[in-house]
Order: sequence, then C-alpha cells, then structure tokens
Amino acid sequence: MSEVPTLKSQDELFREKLSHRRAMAAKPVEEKFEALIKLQQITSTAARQAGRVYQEPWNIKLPDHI
Amino acid sequence: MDRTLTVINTLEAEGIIGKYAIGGAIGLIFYVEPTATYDLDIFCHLPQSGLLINLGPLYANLAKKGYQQADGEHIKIEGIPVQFLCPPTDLVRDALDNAVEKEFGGVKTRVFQYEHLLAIMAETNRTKDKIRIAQALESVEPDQAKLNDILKRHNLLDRWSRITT
Repeated sequence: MSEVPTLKSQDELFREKLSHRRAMAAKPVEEKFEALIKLQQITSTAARQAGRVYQEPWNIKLPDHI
Repeated sequence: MDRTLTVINTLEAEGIIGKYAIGGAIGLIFYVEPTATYDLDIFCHLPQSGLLINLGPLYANLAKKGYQQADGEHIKIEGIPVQFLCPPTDLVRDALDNAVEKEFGGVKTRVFQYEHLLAIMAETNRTKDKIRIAQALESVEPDQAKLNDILKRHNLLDRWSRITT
C-alpha cells in the first residue's frame, strides 16, 4: 500500500507545487537542461498531435555526468 | 550545450564577436526552473555600420566551421539553434556589461544576472514575459536592492509594480 496521503487540501497541493518549483530551481543547470529537453519533447508532441505548428526538440547529447 | 558554448567561446577568442552573454529563457534557466524554449539567445557586440549590423563575418566564420543558417536568423551550432543579437536597448547593454561567469558541463560562459533578466522581461512586456516573471519570482527571490536599482535606472519601476501586483 502506498504511504502517500490521498486526501489533500487545495492549499497543500499548491504548496507542494511551489516547493517542487523551488527544488527544481536549486538543481544544477545541467540537470535543468535535461528537464528542458523533456519539456520540449512533451510540448512538441502535444502541438504536433493537435495539428499546431511545432518546433523540433533539440537533438543534443548532454554531458556524461548527468 | 557545452559543445555549443565551446564554439561560441572560440568565436569570442577569435574576435569574430565581442564580449557575449546568454540572455533570454536559457539565461533564466541558470537561476530558476526551466520553461519551454527552443533557441539560445547570445547577446554580443557585432561589427556595425550606422544602424546596420554586419552579420557577414560571423556567418562566414561559422560556415567554415561547418555550421549553417537553420531557419531565418538562427544558426544551428552542435544541435542548438542559436541567435546572435546586438543589445537593442540601454538595459540590455547594461546586462551585457554586468554579465557574470557561469559554467555548463565544465565549459565557462557568461550569463546575464538574474535581476537584469527580470528587468528585461519587464521591458519587453510580452504575455510570456509576464508569465515567466511570475514563475521566476515564485522559485527564486531576486536581490531586491539590485533589482530596484536596475529598474530605477531604466525607468521601469512603474511597469514592474503593475506586472507584479
């Protein structure tokens, strides 16, 4: 069974979102780039599937230590 | 990205571009959570005759290195579309003059300071800039004294308070 509580207030959900945002901001820039590329893949796929103009995600190799 | 920056550092070392710094949404990623963006904005001094900027020597040098213009004003360098821009306003010139050294994957680069990036977004004032300002402020507090000084010097205090209240 999952230990994660399933009943949460709206405020709690927004607080978690904010804390996730701050945690992401504090990560090394190389890790944030990895997240950026995933974000590009998601937005490009969504735009393509909706028939909107889309840009190709970057096709790059990230440094090995990431 | 580290390979792209190595090429850009070489351009600066060869004198093809003047002092450069990363701005735009990629610059912001050095400080806050990432937002979707597809190009790397490089602000630098380029040879200019009157109001016209001569991109010829830059494009020729990049072509020799094997990098061609991708679409419109972008040049794809090691997989990343890069746009080279001259600072269009006093604020961006100020940001370039005061850019700070950072590293990506062991490669040194220069990035606009966080407070300058916030002020530039207030200056450009597009819908996406206002959204990015709100997201940025939620994740990282700027140095308020530094931000106020920049906003005051560039007559942006009123606009900033309209955007953020």
